[in-house]
Amino acid sequence: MSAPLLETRNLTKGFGQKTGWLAKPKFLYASSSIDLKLNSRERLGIVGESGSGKSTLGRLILGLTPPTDGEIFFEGVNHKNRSTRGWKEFRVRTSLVQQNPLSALNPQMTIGEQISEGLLVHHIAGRAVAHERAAKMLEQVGLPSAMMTRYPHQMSGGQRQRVVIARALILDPKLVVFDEAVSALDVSVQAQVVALLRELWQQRDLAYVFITHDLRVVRHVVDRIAVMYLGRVVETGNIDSVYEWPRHPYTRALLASVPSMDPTIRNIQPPIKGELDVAKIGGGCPFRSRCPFAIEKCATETPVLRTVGNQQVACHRAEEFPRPVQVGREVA
Amino acid sequence: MAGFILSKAARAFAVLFSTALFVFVVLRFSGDPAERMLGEFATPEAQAAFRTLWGLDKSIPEQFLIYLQHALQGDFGKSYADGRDVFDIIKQSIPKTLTVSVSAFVIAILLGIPAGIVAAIRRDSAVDRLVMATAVLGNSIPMFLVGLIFIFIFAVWLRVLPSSGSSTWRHAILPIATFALYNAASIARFARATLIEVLYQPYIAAARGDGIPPSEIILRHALPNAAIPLVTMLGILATSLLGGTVLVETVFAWTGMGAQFVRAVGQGDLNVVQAMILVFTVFVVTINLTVEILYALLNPKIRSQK
Repeated sequence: MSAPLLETRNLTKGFGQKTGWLAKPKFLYASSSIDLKLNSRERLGIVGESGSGKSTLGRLILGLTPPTDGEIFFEGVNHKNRSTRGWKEFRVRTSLVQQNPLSALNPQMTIGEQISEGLLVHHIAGRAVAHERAAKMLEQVGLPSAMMTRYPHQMSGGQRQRVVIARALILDPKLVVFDEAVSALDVSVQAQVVALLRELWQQRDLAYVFITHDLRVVRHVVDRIAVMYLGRVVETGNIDSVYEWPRHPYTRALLASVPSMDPTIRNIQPPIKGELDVAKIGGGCPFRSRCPFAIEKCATETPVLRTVGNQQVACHRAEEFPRPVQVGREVA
Repeated sequence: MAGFILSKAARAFAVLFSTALFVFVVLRFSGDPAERMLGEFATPEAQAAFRTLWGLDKSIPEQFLIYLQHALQGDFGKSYADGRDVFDIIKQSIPKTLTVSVSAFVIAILLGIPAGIVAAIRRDSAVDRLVMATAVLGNSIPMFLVGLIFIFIFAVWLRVLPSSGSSTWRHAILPIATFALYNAASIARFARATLIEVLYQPYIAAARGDGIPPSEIILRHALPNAAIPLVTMLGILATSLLGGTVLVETVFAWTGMGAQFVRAVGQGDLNVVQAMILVFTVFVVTINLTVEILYALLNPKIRSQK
């Protein structure tokens, strides 16, 4: 088998928090020992609640923030060994789509200028060709090429996100990181953008890292999912198998919390309470303070990812949880 | 664009007229110029003669109409103090004031903006700390004290520049330097803060992610967006220029408008005060107009509404 498109090994990012003058900074881990593999054309979903470290993971992968520890390989090349030229090539082959399309677009530049900029600065095309390709790209994301001369404030939210996607794809990247790419959009627009992402994926040699807190949307976009809690991956596997039989109590709680239109569907477990408290992690399972199934072992021994059923789970009691009757189907 | 400028100009004229009216009325209610000019021991006859001489015995609306009629012909009356034509007084003092304030402002921009940009790009570096420390110092020491320190260093100690007066260009150096330093400090701090805020915007992250070179990110993405708040700030700063020169002119005995204005207000020299306030108003209105036109040029959101 060939090398994966993207691989992270023991990827860790800590943020120093000073507690007092001259005090040694306390480290909070936004990402902790993350091992991921992503093949070409694979679509990986990364889900978790606010503060779970999913956005940090996206920025780490794209080299927008340096890791505290661990390694990131893209097409077999370690980020650490990249030359200036290597970084340029990496930037051409990867892209970022962010949450709020209005702030992700430069208010001072026209749509056409922003989409074609990448082609120009990387000397891939001259002005005329770049303009032509940008117009074509705009049409591919479902917008008329006449919109090239518009400014971001003259468009709707959905149109803007299409522009951001067009800008991300103009250099024909192999990997696009979507950071809450549809979360700021209306539900009806979300569905259109999700359909567009599926269509574009079918037409191109593209891999996705789709970061979101929205469990309903992610299912329509990705092949594989990684659930994050406090900077750690607690469960990962094929999207259908995770949705059919979530093995980690946190995943189960997340899936159970997806609002349902059907009153006959009842939760498989009580909803978890409280919020993430990043500052309070010690040893043991990071989820134990909110877990209804926590036992003594959870406080002493940190669970690591191990294979349970069709997926990998970081929970001591993963085998004990039954397959829920309805929840997987409902979420679709 | 022409319609836009025309409507702004009409508004500017309205501001000018209402300021003239307001100042005219208020000045006539705030103390009797006859008493202030002639002193408290002047005889009632002398005071009455003074009022008749300057037309102050007529009703205020009547006085205003006469004033307006003359003003529109470029005649702003004569100084009560020495009978000089107000127009001449202003014509003499404006160039002096503009020399100090405009050159100080230009120097402040040329120093402050690059310093702020460098500090923002090299945030938390030694350069940033040096620039910010200088800026905070320049902002927190009162301007007259900076002036006195400069006089001490360059006039008393090194003896390379004159300490006061306004006869040669060498006299202008210290007032300009004092005023420029103060303004440069404000501009540098604001430019840095604005640019840092822009650099945190998602479109900057997107540009970095697309591999746009750092110089390009600053020039094409960050600076044009930082320019809008910066122009606002420079406009506000520019309108305070004339007020600021009052202080500097006093310290360096620079005979510009500031010094004249302070004297005229103290003596109740109404014609001089009125005319100078009008000049200040024209100055402020012009700056605001310039800022609004710059906005329209810089911001596509405003531009497209026209």
